[in-house]
Amino acid sequence: MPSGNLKFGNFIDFSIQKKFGIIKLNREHRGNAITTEMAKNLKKAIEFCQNSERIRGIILTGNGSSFTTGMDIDAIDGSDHKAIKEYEKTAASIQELFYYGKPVICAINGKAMGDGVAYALCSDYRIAVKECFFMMPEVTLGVFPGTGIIVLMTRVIGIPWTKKMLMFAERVSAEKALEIGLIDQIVENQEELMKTAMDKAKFLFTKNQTVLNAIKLCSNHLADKPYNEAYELEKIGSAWYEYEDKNQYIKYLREKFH
Amino acid sequence: MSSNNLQFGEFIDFIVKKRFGIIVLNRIHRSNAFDIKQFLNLKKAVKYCQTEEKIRGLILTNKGNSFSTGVDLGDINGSDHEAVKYLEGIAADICKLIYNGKPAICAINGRTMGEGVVFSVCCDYRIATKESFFQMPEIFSGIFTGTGCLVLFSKIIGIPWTKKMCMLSERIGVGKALKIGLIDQIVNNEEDLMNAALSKAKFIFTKNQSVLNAIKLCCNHLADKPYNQAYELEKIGSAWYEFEDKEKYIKQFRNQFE
Repeated sequence: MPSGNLKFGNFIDFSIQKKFGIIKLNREHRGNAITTEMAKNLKKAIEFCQNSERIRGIILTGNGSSFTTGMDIDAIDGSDHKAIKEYEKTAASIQELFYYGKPVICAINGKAMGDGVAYALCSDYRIAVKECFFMMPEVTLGVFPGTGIIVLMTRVIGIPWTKKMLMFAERVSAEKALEIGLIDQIVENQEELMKTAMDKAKFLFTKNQTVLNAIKLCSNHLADKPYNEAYELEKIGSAWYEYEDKNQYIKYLREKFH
Repeated sequence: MSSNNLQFGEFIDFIVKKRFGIIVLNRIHRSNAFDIKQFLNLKKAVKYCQTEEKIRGLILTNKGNSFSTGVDLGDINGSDHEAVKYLEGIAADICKLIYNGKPAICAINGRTMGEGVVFSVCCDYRIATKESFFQMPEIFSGIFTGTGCLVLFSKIIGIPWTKKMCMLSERIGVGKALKIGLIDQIVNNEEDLMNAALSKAKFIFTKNQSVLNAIKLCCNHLADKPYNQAYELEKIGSAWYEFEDKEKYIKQFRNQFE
């Protein structure tokens, strides 16, 4: 049963289930396209999850038939570079909170574009309904997708597919997304989507949280380092039991990767 | 319609179409194996495309039924290490010019070996006819594949496939090449090949060139850097509009990765 229906402002629904904060993008009349206000509210909800001791992870999903169509180009003028910069800054800090923070499951309920793809990439497990697709249309508008997405995309799906998505704006089906590592699982419908996401949350919240968070940090941050440096960092991960204050230890390990 | 039939010397044909420089390897009597002269002429043509303002990218392709069989071992003595070193230096320059330069499309018709594979891997989009195959035979001749090939392979197709190709000299068919990211598209024949390449060129040359070139640089160079350092570099990409002289901006941005 859901509990803790906190409010984080317009377009963001929030509840807690199985010790996971469930954040739902809810701006259905615009395909869940994200405005600066919505991005700020999303950031507040994620920050809450990262700071609350009773929450062990996040499920990010959307309402309706779109996960999100990315930045709302009707609400933010593409040629207003100052407005774009403000939006990008919020979007980038959301990605950083996901990438460095507690485990995140992304439950993709429909088409995912622009920052929708970026938020999915920061998550640790991505489940998508079979009708969804992924696309980065920025290059067709002359917009640089600058919220840290290239940093993430080249790491998660590799350089060739990053180029196909960002330089050539290729539309990627759920099936292809599974093949290239953009998602981890395909489900039949929205009902199955939330059930699968909750199963994964259950798996995670019943495990040793110190070990789990240390594994997440090492998985995200060791591949870009020379072997010996990476191994020294992994050793800090494997020595988790030596630290009395586990929260302090994870904080220390996170700082190591900043 | 073609234009600008420039001459870069023996074994290299060149025309400009859709604002793309089309470089055709033409040493058909030796299956497009490279001798020093062809390497030097190819470098001249690639350099011309990079410095000519009216050219927005390049297509690298071949005449005949071999894209290239790599370095011509009939022309260069493998045990003459000085000669090999000189040759490797030119090939490495070509790789760098393509990898750090304007968008490049590789249109592969036929077998592709040694340096042919390396040049294709430097490109941003690789299309191959269905009869093509890829192989790195250097290990048979006791030659180290030292033109930046291992740097690129491990980034593009990953460590396990780099080992299979360079240590075990596995021959890769187009189906497998597509699966592992060595190519991006398969076409039926030579006619389809050029149509597909020109259609990609058309997509590219109609977009904002500053954004596109910045995306290319970020795609190629951010995956091997720590997250925060990579994100700082991506921010330079996303701030393209702040620079008045766009040519200078891209040049300076390229220098960041030299």
